[in-house]
Amino acid sequence: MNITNKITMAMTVWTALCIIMVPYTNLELLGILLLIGVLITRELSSGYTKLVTGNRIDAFIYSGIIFFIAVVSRRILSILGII
Amino acid sequence: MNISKISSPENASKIAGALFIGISLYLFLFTPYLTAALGALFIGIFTPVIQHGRYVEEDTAVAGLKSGVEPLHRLIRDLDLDGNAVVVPPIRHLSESRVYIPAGTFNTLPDLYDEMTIVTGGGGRTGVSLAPPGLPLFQDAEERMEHGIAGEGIEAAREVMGHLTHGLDLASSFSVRAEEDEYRLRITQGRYREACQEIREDLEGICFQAGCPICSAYLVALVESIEEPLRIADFEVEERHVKYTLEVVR
Repeated sequence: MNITNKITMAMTVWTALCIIMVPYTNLELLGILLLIGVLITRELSSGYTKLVTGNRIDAFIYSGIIFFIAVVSRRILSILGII
Repeated sequence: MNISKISSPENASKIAGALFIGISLYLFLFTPYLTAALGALFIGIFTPVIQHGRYVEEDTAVAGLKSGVEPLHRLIRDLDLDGNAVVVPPIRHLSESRVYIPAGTFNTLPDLYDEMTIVTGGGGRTGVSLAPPGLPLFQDAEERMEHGIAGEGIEAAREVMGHLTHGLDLASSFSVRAEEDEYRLRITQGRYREACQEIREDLEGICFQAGCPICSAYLVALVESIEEPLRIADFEVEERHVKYTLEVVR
């Protein structure tokens, strides 16, 4: 099993665990847990992946960070009573 | 498109991705399980994006390994070289690692040059100096690292060997340790175990005289990191392990 297979397997298992653990309407929590999974996978595999694979994982991380910023912004606005 | 092309990893990942996206759409539209839908969508996109590389059949890879070492073995046999190899890092006049195979009993290492293949160093120091068969594999692993390993010591060797083992999947595991003027390298074979056994049987003595491309890549990683030539003093096979004992050549 090569490194990309291992990454895919790890993320599939992590996603399945998250789906089981998270209440079935809480998309925000699931999104953040998936981001954490991708960050850990990137860190653990960084020495072994090719540059192009690393860049592709980074693209998921950037998307996840944008999602995280949106979630936090929404929470702040709701606490302030703006939305 | 035949069945083997469909079942190749890059196509299989696309099919799996499409399947997960389909499941995701169904869950979003017809069920209240939104997290399951998002999870399926994530896997549906993640799998084909990460599994992007092109793959070759394992038989082709094994044939590539054999074709890399068979001409070398024939050359060694035809020239009647019977000494154990010395793996030499890029030191003194060399810009790339070489493997020096002496014609008889090894005494001292002659001066080696990049453009010199047949070595007649005088004093009975005759042999051939060739590019190690595992050099391209080593270079591929080294490219994945963020820094060079030349002279960085045995820890750097372990790092490159980690790339060879986990990044390129050449073996299951490895261990390397220093003992006074010796190094001991143990490689636990993985998916190429049968190919390695075939090479050992077909090309008798190759493990002492150059190593197959896989073992050679590990040997080059070790010599480049310690920047000292190492002579293959002993080689043995034990179940799934191949073990090298390497003497430092002063």
